[in-house]
Amino acid sequence: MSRSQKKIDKINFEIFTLTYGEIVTTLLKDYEDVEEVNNQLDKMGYSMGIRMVDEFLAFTGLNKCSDFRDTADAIANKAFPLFLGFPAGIQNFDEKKKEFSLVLDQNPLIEFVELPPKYKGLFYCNILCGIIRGSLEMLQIDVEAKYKKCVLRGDERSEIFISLKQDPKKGDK
Amino acid sequence: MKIICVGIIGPQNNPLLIHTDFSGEERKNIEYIVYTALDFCEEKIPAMSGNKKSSLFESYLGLLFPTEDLRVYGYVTNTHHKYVLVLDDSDVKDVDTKKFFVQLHDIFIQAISNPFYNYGEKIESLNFISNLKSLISKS
Amino acid sequence: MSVSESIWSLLLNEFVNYVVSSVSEPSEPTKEENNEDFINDPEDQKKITKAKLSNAGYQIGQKLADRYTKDRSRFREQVDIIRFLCKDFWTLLFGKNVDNLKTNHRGMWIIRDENFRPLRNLSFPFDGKNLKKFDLNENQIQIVQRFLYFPCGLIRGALSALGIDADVDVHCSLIPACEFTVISKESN
Repeated sequence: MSRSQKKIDKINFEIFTLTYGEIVTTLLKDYEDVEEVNNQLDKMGYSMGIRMVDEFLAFTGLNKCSDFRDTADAIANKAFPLFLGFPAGIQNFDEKKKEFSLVLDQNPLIEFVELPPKYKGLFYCNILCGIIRGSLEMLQIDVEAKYKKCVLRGDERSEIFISLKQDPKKGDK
Repeated sequence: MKIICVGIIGPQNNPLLIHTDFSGEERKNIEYIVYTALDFCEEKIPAMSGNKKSSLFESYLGLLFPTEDLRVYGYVTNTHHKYVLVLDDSDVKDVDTKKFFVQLHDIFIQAISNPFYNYGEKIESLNFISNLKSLISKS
Repeated sequence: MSVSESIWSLLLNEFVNYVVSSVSEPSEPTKEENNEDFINDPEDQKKITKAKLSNAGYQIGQKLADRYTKDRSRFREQVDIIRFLCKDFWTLLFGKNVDNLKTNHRGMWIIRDENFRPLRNLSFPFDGKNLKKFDLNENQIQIVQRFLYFPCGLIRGALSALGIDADVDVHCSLIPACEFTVISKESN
């Protein structure tokens, strides 16, 4: 399937994880409102996402996704392993409503992290939502990506909910 | 091993953690023993110089000093953190105390890697305490 | 676990851009004390940007020094620490050894990396191309410097944790090569 023989350059996850930790703690120092930190993380992720698509297409040799199911698969089983080193799971895929949940069993971003109780409202990995949104937008796929659950907040698992923004003017994607 | 106390002291000889089940007067005595241990650690840590035996540059410092009914062991990291282990045993092998320190080092690194931990501060992580208790009960 | 080099590069870029813009234009939702301290002077802005990024790197450098020296025996001499920095630490963080190390044997070291990882994927808005092996003008140097404050902090933090209290500065005029100057605070 992939015409690309070369492998993407990899680095140890620790420096990535710790850098992200500093970003989050810096934002928490700058903003009173945890919701604003969530927004900032999403914005950063969006900016990253739009720059990640080319590399993604180059290393996976994928063409445009033919349907939404393909899109979900590309994110969970191709993009996540390529950039973050682990796949995500797809659950509750709804073909009609064009939505699904991404379940993250492993996540380098949250390694070592213990979220203090006062930051309960924080979605620590919200950057991922922005990355997904930004990269799909470059492929003309407009989605909403939102964290529904996060293990750092005490939920039983981490879950991002992704739904296609339905545009009544366009046909089915 | 019957562990009375585990102490982690920072590079500036500032206590990052003193974990013991004792309280009140007994706790103060234990803390005093930990600080005394620091002096013995310093003696065992050679100043930087190439002309010394390689055994002097291991992290494990071994038995620092025995008291009447306690034995105190030490360990120092490359970042000048000192770990002190106070035991209530006379029949303890070096290999076991060394193993304890190495595992302690592992969970310590885990705890300081938390982005909400500021390097050099006291360790208050609940995960760390829980890991430490687990480590103690297994030793 | 590994991640792609690209996602870290992009993350770092976002961090730098965030700090730069938050220092020069703090917006409504920031905390009261930040608004009161709003700095107008570009030189001060540069200092604050440098401090914020460098300190972030410093924290991480200290933590990684602990992590990456765990399974080795203790350093005998200062030169062993520098060697560790230039080989093991540099490789773990930047994917390679340094290319050149010079010292005056009195607490000053100059470290040169011809292909410094954080500089490899910088692109400039000027002509849309990646700037590789290009000489930089003064203005461009200013922009590139921002991306080097964080790595300076990493190095400073690692050295500090290992017992060398030093100032670390960096200079680059030919991307992606750069030169770090490490001066121990104890040196003459």
